[in-house]
Amino acid sequence: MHYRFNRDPSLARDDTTTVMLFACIYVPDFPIEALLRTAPELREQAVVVLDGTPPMLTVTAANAKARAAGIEVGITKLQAEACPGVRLKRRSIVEEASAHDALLDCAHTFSPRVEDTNRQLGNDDKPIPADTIILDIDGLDRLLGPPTIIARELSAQVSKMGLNVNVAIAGNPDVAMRAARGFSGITVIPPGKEAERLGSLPIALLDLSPEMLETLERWGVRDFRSLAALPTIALSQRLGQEGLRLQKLARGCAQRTLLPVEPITKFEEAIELEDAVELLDPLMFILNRMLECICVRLESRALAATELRVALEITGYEDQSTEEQEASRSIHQRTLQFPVPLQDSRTFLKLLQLELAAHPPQGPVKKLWVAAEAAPPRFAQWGLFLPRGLAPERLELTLARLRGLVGDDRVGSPELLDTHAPDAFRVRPFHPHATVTKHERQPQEQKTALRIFRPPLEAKVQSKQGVPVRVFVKGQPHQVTAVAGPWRNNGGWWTEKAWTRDEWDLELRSEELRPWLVHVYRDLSSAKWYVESSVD
Amino acid sequence: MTAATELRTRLEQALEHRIPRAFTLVQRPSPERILTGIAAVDALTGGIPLGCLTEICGPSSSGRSSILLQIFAEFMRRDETCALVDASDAFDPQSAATAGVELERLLWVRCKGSGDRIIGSWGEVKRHSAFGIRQSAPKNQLNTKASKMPPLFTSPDHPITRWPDPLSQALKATDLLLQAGGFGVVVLDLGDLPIAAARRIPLATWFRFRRAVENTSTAFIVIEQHPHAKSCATLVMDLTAQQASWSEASDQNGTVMEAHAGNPAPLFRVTAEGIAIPFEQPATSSFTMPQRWSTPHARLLNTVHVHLQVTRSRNLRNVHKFPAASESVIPSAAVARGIPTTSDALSVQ
Repeated sequence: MHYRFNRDPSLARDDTTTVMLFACIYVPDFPIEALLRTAPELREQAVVVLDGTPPMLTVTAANAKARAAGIEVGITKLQAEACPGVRLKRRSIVEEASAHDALLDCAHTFSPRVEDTNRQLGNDDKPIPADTIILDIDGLDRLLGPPTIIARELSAQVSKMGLNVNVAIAGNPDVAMRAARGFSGITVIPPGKEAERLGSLPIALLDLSPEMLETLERWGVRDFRSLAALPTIALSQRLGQEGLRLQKLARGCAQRTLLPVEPITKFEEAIELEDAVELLDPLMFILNRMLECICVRLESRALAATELRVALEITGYEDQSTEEQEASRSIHQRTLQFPVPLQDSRTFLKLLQLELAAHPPQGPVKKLWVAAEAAPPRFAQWGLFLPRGLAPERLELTLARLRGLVGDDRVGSPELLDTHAPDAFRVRPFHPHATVTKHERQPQEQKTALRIFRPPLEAKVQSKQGVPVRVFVKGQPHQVTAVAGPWRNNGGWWTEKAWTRDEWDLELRSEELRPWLVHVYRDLSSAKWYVESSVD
Repeated sequence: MTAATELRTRLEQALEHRIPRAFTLVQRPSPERILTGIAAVDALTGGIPLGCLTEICGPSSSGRSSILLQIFAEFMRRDETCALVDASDAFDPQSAATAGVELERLLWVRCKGSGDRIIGSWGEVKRHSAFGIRQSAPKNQLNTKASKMPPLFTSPDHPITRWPDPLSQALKATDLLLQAGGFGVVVLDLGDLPIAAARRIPLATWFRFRRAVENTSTAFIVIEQHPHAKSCATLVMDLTAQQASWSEASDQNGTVMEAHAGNPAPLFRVTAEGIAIPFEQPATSSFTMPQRWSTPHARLLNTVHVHLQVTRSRNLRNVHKFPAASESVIPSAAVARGIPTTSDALSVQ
């Protein structure tokens, strides 16, 4: 669909021109921004990112404060250390990948046609996360307004992800990309003004090969305007088709099709730490940042999480030898499943804290990986006269605390098993929100309830003609005043949990003269008597 | 107007902006009550008060659990969610399902036998000690808030470390559930715990529980052998098992003899559907002990007779008295006796 470009007077060329609109999001100093995204406290400091194989580490990126302190891209680590007050960080591809995914997520909230621009392969043939995203925003003005407003919205949305970006809008994807890379902040280039606005940009932004860059500099061509002013035929004779392509880019009239990518369905964050974390509190501090990033991404896509997976890479302690550290290297994984989709990062953090406190990693943590399983948020229609329900977030926290207090398998809802085995049940996770009342509940006739002794109480029984007449429980004698039974109960003989026993109902009386109604059985395999339950 | 009354009025007017009605006794509104579904209990108590602490006391076989399951079923009939903190791990899911409890709406916290894994004793939280293998290393000692917290319950006379773990876990779990809110009823089952252990729970704990449920729509019920919450309890029910009746084998006509331990009892007829219907003509038991021993396998525990006494109840004047016709709901095996003001006998079948 083509947009008639006459709604914004600043962009109108004439009433009949129809152009498409493209926006470009560019993250300057992407390796640094990816690191600062999970460590925003470093944003006020001079930070450089080192890359390479030790000891040949060189500066790959430096923020404005570091550049002001004298740091230049390409200098060695030793030279960078000479500048006081500069924080040196190792490049983290995993964090760049997380930041790149967040960027794509953000772009997909504005448009379904998003291009992952400038993808490159690294040394290990794995794609290096790109710092540029181009999206087709054609028609978005009907929803948000003029291109300037769209650009502001884009910038604000990406800022929520913890990234400082440049945003440019133009009628051509290449023009938008060069403008975003060349101008900081928000840039809107009206149709027909491309060559004029791009003219001051250096030709290095055209992604030239070193030989081409050297040739043009030798000719005195240092910016777009100079390249655009060169005679076309002469340029073609000297540089061929590549020269013509570069000139079209410099003039802002190159045309190409956008290559959209699929929206990301995985919500993952990863951090590789320089120093391993041994304590829970600092670990939760880092996890908090990651969870906040995930929640912002989920929120921007109007999604919630039904499952949270955490993987911690564990290394050895510093005072251990290299072999011991390698031997202790492992992955500690925990999974949290929620009965209803949740979206609150504080709830996630508390649940993770309780989970990790109950199941701590077996050593210092070097790398963290958090992934969320996304699902549409829960919508519930409550009634005025219905009882107040349990808040899902609060209930999950309470259940997690209870599990930490009494054990994982000791909190939940009982579920009867389809078996004749005595005391057959299992404990299921408590999901009251999943319960749907399908039928009208009728009042039940009151029945006697049992209280189970787990494990059964061992008893000594005196019998007369095969009928119990006296029972000793915990050393206390009890007279049998009424008896019913025996009933043979056996089963499960085809399994290891076979049972075979004779069961009795007894009315016992001791010195207190109060009846104690118990259900006892004689285990035929061991010929021992047990008190299994009491009527209460 | 006397001088004292005038002085009081003046003071009240002077303090009106800071303490409204400083000398006027404010009457607490009567709490909303939920019927238990057992007519005899409801006639005496008016139901379980919401936002209050209710104690159901009695020894074993006194019908505490039966009443509790009826309460659960009644709350779930109102689409409420219930929680049971089971200090003795004595809850029987089969009995609950038979009583009409929707098990999926019941949160069951089983406290017994799980204390050694996490908490050795109060004040010593082992699980917060460190990551894994270096628990004794000082640098791995996690400096969490929980590890600095003083013990939850303190009593100089009875050190906390002497308490059995299930009790301390049950109290803390109850605290968590009451603070979380949203449950229709929260039950703390201390029924099988030693009386001495339950008696050591400080009164401050009961005050805290009462304050936690106050002004909420949650009913808090404690099952125990003796009442311990003192004035914190709004309703205290004291149960005592009286006797049990056992049904004997049927004769050729399908009639089943029923006998109390020594009292006369009515005859019952067993139909093909297995429902007991009172027989028209009462009869006395013809059993003697030697005869009863002869065929014990054909005998079934039929009814347990329980005596209920309400030993504490606020706002008793608001208790709804059931009409006489409603008493027919009580199973016919109930002990017929004069119903005093605050006690009754009921039969749990």
